[in-house]
Amino acid sequence: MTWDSLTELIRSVVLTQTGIVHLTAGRLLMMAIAGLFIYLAVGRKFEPLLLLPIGFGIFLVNFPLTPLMGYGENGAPELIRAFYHYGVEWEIIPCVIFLGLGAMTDFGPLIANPKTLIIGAGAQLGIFLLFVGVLPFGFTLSEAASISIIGGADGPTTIYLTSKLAPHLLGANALAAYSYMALVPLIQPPIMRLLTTPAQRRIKMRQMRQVSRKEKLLFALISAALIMLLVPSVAPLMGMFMFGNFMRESGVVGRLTDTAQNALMNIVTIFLGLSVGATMQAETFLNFKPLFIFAFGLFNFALCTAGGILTVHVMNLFLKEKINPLIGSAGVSAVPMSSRVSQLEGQKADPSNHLLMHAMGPNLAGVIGTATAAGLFLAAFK
Amino acid sequence: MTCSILLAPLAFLSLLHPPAPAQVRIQPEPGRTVVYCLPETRISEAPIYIRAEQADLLEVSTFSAPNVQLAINQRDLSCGLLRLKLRLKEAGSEARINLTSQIFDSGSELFLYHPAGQKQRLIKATRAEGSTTEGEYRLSLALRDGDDFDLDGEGLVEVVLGPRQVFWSQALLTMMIRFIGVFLVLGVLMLAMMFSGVVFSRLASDRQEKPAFPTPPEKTEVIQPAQLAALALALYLEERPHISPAVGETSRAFSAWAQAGRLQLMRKPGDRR
Repeated sequence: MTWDSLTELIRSVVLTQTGIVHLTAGRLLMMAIAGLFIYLAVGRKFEPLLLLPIGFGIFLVNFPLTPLMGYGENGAPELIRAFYHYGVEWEIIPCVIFLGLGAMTDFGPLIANPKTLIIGAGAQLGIFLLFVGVLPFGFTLSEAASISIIGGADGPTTIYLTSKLAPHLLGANALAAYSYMALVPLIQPPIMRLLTTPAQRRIKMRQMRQVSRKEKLLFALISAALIMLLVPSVAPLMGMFMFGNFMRESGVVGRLTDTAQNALMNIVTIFLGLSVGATMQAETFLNFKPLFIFAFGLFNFALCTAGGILTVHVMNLFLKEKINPLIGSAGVSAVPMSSRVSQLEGQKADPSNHLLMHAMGPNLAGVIGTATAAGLFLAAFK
Repeated sequence: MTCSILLAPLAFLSLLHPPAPAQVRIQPEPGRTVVYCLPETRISEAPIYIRAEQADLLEVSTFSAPNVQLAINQRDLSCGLLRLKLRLKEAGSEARINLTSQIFDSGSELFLYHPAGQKQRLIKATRAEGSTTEGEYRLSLALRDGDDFDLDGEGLVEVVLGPRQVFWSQALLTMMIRFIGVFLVLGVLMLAMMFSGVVFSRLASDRQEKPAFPTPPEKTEVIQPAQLAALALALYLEERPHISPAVGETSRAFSAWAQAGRLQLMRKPGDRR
């Protein structure tokens, strides 16, 4: 073997069998973004259950020539592509997450005070305003719908809707939704203080009545039936959500409830995080749209928070027993983080005021409201 | 007018990042041509059925001319522009092109493009007669032999047209209807929960009202005289009022279990009911 043929062989190996020469600036930038997410998860403990797998997914798929997100020679999906295909494209993961969420949720505060459902509806204001607001920037109607749902701060619903309406925006949308969910304690308080007076923040609400187990069981059935009747397109999400809740409230399938709350939820979270991260390859992610999505997402989230508070103000015009407008901000779906923010802000105004359980009502209504909004969008674009 | 002034900057902004052109698939079928396209308002293909009356539809193709100045916002075109070539059946006769689709509604229009530029015009949708399986609304265009679109003066006609729906009105309508929809859905749920809440609260209050005093145990034990005396003394000491209660209030002042104990004491040992 001559020296020339040896160097030719080495060159050929390096060019075709390793990724070194295919590393582009874009890929390196994506790896830096992956590093940022991993740091936020590990170092700052910001939504680590999601940001860690998402960050690692971004890190993995941005290495060139890696058989992770493509299709094999026989057309079979490669590893993470298979997670993505069967989990996200087939809409299994968001629905399974809703099952787990249902199994974790106590609807007692919402059932005890059904008026808070209206706050949950009002908090969707940002979704619909932004739906029109992003259109001048070249987004199509279906892209606009998938971006606007970020304001609801509901990760699974965002993924569910985006995977149907604008799959190419899945990575950016999911990441924006989960990022803003983690930033609820920073984003919401200034808006809450801006839109309320100190006297309004001190409003004390009457203690809620006890809700029996039978009533909770009935709620799961009634709400599933009504929502699926009115918005059939949201049946996969709401059906699973209420099924999980029915299992929990029935009290007879403890093992199943425990699995839905813990093991199953953890498994799908791993696959979801990796799949979402893997959609963020440099070639598809590095353009103006994800940047717009992040900027709009923040604005959208602020609008949804304001929408909930303004709805309480409007309701208070007609109600004898006034509602503390601080619970309006909990109308976004970030459960229970936004309820905690309402409690903390309420206590700042009056340390003897406890709003946590009152805020859980609009918080849960927000989950139903965001899912309903997603269902209405789906029905519109079918 | 106000609406168009408000929407003008939005239309300008959309020029900064114009959306991708509509995807179109054309399929000739006997007696009609089906154009499948993906309008912005859909995530699945929508068919548009094109039929010609008193003419043979020779060809349907997409028309794209990036430098062409359109009198409308390009985003309003549901399916881009289509070029239709047809031959009139009789010289000097009038032919008609009909487009029907499920995506058309009363607000749909047919945009007719003319290379000369000045003759671009819009034709409003009309209700389709007869069977509505292909759509309830129809966009219809009349063509005459020898008019502007006649290529050879012998009945070979070529027109460039496209179904149109004002994009911004669609977007705003979608926004309003869906937002109201969320309120309606959650409002209905609220009413249902209020109703069930009232029913459950009444049931719970009925249940609370029923037993004023707990019934004493059925089984009475045989109590020895010494035990009886001790119990009586204990009860007396426990419940001795400092101020004599008014008549009628005495029984209310004692607890339910004291009442039950008294009843037991009043009975003779071994007395069973």
